[in-house]
Amino acid sequence: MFDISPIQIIIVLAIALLIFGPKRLPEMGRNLGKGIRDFKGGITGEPDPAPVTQAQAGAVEEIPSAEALIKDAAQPEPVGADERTPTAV
Amino acid sequence: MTDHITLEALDADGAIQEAAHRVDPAGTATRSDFFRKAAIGGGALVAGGVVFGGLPALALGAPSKKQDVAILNYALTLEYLETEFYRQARAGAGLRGETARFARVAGAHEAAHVAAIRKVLGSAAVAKPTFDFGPTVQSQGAFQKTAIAVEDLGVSAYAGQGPRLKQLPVIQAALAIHSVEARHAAWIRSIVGQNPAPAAFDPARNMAQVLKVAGGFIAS
Repeated sequence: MFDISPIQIIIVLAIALLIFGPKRLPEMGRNLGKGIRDFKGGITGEPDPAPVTQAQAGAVEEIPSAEALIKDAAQPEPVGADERTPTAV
Repeated sequence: MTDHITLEALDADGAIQEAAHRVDPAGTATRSDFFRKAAIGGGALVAGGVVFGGLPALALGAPSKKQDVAILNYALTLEYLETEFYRQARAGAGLRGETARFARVAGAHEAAHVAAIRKVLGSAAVAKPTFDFGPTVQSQGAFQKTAIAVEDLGVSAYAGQGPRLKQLPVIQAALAIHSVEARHAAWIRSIVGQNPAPAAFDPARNMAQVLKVAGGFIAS
């Protein structure tokens, strides 16, 4: 469809380099690539990478209140329940 | 390994002592003079002594040196609670083995935290409340469960106040204490066979949330 020679591509890149400068050009290339990936993902229905969920990160445990701890401590304790063998992590 | 922790060891780079001097920008007053002035300027909040029960009334806003004093007193109250918890448990829970060693070492750390924060606050330091831990300090199993809760609470409380601090030396001192609280939490979890690091991210808790959990231990 487009008959573009390597020389023409080099000329276009050289003009882009002159206009945008060496600092902004790599950033623009990255943004372009990301845009293309997102576009392809949108067409194929590929979902975005899911953020780390609470379940994956490990559920945040609620801290029992002082009242609950005192109430629990008032219950009789099973014998030998206080020193357990550490489980593998 | 020594279990004896000194203020010098805790504050090796002088961050805590430096914090005391930073709150006196003019450098003309003594530390206690400055805190006295800050307390008067801040109303009865600091001058009258912030007791834990009054914490939800604290109107904390943007970081300020005055707010640092209030937060340090809040941290001091938590450290009082932890120190007293370990002291009572060691006296009355019949602790054995690794649990006894944990209580001795963690208790010494908490006492060092109290000493360090009191030194920074000088005359602005709040008085120690009266605590009632009930049967949680009367058996090893109850002590272990409560120690996990108390240490987790301490970790989340420091995380909750860290972003509210203004002065870098105070932040450095808070971080130095915060990580030690996390080590305590991991240690006691390991002793009872729980995962020492159960989550990738720990929650921060504000003063009201901390009070909701710990308020029941404070008698007056």
